Amino acid sequence: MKLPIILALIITSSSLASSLSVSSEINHQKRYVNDQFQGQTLTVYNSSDYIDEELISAFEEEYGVKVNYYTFDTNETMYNQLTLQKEGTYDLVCPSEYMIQRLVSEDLIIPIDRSKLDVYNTYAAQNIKNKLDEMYTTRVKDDGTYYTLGDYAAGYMWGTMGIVYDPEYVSREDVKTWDVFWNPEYYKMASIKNSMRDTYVVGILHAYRDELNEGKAKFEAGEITGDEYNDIVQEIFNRHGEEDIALVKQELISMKENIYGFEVDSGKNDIITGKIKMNLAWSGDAVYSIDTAAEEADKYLEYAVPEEGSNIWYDAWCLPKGANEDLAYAFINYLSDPENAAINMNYIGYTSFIASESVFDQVVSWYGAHEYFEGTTYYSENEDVVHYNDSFYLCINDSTGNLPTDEEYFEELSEEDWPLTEPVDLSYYFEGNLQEGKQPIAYPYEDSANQLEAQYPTQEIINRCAFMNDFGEDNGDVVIMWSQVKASTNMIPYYVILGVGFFIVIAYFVIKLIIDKREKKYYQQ
Amino acid sequence: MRFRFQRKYLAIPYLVFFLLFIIVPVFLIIYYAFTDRATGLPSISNLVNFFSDRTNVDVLVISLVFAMATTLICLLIGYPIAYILADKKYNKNAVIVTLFIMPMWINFIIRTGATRDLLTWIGLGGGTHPVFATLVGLVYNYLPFTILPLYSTMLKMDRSLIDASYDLGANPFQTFTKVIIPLTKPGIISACTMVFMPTISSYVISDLLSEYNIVLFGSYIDLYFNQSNWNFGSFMALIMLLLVGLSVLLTRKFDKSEDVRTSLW
Repeated sequence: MKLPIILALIITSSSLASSLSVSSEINHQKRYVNDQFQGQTLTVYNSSDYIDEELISAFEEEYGVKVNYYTFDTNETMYNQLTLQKEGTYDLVCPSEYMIQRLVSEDLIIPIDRSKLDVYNTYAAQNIKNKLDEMYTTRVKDDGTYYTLGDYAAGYMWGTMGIVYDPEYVSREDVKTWDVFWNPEYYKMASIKNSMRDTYVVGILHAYRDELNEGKAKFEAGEITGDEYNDIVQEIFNRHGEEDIALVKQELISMKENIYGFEVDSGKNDIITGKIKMNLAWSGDAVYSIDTAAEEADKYLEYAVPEEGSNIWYDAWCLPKGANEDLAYAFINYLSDPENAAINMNYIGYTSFIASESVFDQVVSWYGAHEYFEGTTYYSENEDVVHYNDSFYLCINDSTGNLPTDEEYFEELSEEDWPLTEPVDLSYYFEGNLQEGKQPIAYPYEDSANQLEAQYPTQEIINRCAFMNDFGEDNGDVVIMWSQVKASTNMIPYYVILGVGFFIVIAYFVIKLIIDKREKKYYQQ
Repeated sequence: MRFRFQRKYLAIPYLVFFLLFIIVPVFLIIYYAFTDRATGLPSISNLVNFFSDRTNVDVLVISLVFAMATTLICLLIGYPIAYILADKKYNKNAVIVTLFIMPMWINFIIRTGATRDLLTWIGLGGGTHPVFATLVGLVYNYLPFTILPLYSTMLKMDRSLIDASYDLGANPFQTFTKVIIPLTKPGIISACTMVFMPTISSYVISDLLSEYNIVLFGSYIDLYFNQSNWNFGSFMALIMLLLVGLSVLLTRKFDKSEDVRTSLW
């Protein structure tokens, strides 16, 4: 362990020196010059590996503040810490949607002042941002309506839940339904998250699959709208009465017999090494698995959101009571900056709430070709490909405003290197956030179309995804159900072994007693 | 009054440690175990809940069986090894003993991670053989704890007694049961306690190696702690504490005739 520490010291000290020498230049380029916070401290509490830490140092430098950055592994850990520490310990926390609901009901966080989040308001994907306002808390406003999640939180990352699978072993048809985890054809091939809520999602969707499929059929027949269909999924999703819990318990116990096991964080690597062929995963982890598998193991993985429906989740910034509010808003705005959001998303791999043009350009560069737009800069380093006049061109020299037919900057691709010619429409996310006239479409490469869909699902997928409210009062019952599922196993051998063990011990003592008595008698004679 | 250094002051750090990390936590556990989660008032609801759901007792039984099985297997493997190691003929400079103890130098989580990969590679991983994989992991981790106490008692054993028993007409089996086992009894007992007690509460090994398919009592407590149900978790921790205490008492009873104690406990 010594060596890396020394290395780290050398690296930080050298980068410190270099940053000092150029600091006078950076000062002029500061985008958020603001001395109002000089010398203040911001304490941030976030999931581990959930930020590009260079952004934190950059924030510290630009604002002249100190950021204490702490991380947690699960929402529950965060909750425990937040309740144990005294008020005002943290200025900013980033829990998931259901935990925000719990924090609101327990009066641990304060509403945000939306007007102070101007950068966030400008660059967030409006459709996704509005979803936060569809989720209610238990707290009532003065006018009698309930506060929404959007009143308490500013979105950070979001995604769906689905299945990462190895198409070599698992058929694409089979992963279209959650039933794949119960499918004996894939006996001991799938692993599930060792998380109560995520597993509950699978259980409840499988338990009510008939109802869900009925709703889907109605939607496809045009009898109901997408929103009405989503309401059906939403309602089924949030069933947690006594009977529902019992039903889910049955489902999960029977599933447990068929799957490989549960995993905490090893699933995304296990599918790469081939220990498992299928894994319940969040879209961001799925993107990571697919990427790493392609790079390191030369393996092609895919991600699918089953047809019955699935979970859409949000992680968002909240202000605990006693927070340094203004500095916290400044930090959220800083992360929402169009460029910074792209840098951050590049580092984490999850889908950001921010749908700025930089994010768009970056995502399109990752997964496919751009539609040519004269105001965009294309980079040879990114191997940017543009679509122009029914043909594709590779950027060989960084270019702004040069037509793809200009051979100094672009090279025409031969047809076998073309991406898919059918464009993917991303207007649901980027509408209104791009320059005038720039179309929010991408031409993904054949083997990354799936990844693009994992990161930015089609509207059809969004329609069948629902969020899952906090279990509230029923949480205790769900915990008991979950512990019973986890512990469920055939108990007979255990009781038999225990019985035999006790029997042997008792028999030993009895025999010893008899022998001792006999020997005593023998010696007495 | 002038401060005069006395030798008893040297005990202060230990006393502070003892109070902070042993006494206070035990009282905290007891406090949480007998208060209600919702109201915070004293109650026995945790006790009632524990015994009214059979799953809780089942998990306890699973843990007990795993602890028993691990102890037995460790003893069966460790006893002959310790016997051979204690023989100067085979183990000249205690090199082999060091080899057997060496795995303990590496953190057990790293070793368990490697064991997991190895078992999956030979097709006996936790996904398909959870019980086997867990037992392998537990035995592998606790074997050194069996060998060490056995080895140290066997070193002290007077080997001429074995020759004496042969001279008096005992066959090898009788020599083993009537001479060697009684002479090494203290080692056996301390080996048993050193394996049995930690395995009852161990859970990282079983979690990792069984792919979370087998839930031992430790991870069951962890599940409730993670869901911030400190009260129920504490009650179960108390039960585990009582069980471990009971096993210590039992071994004391076994052990009381022996004046030489080689045990760590």
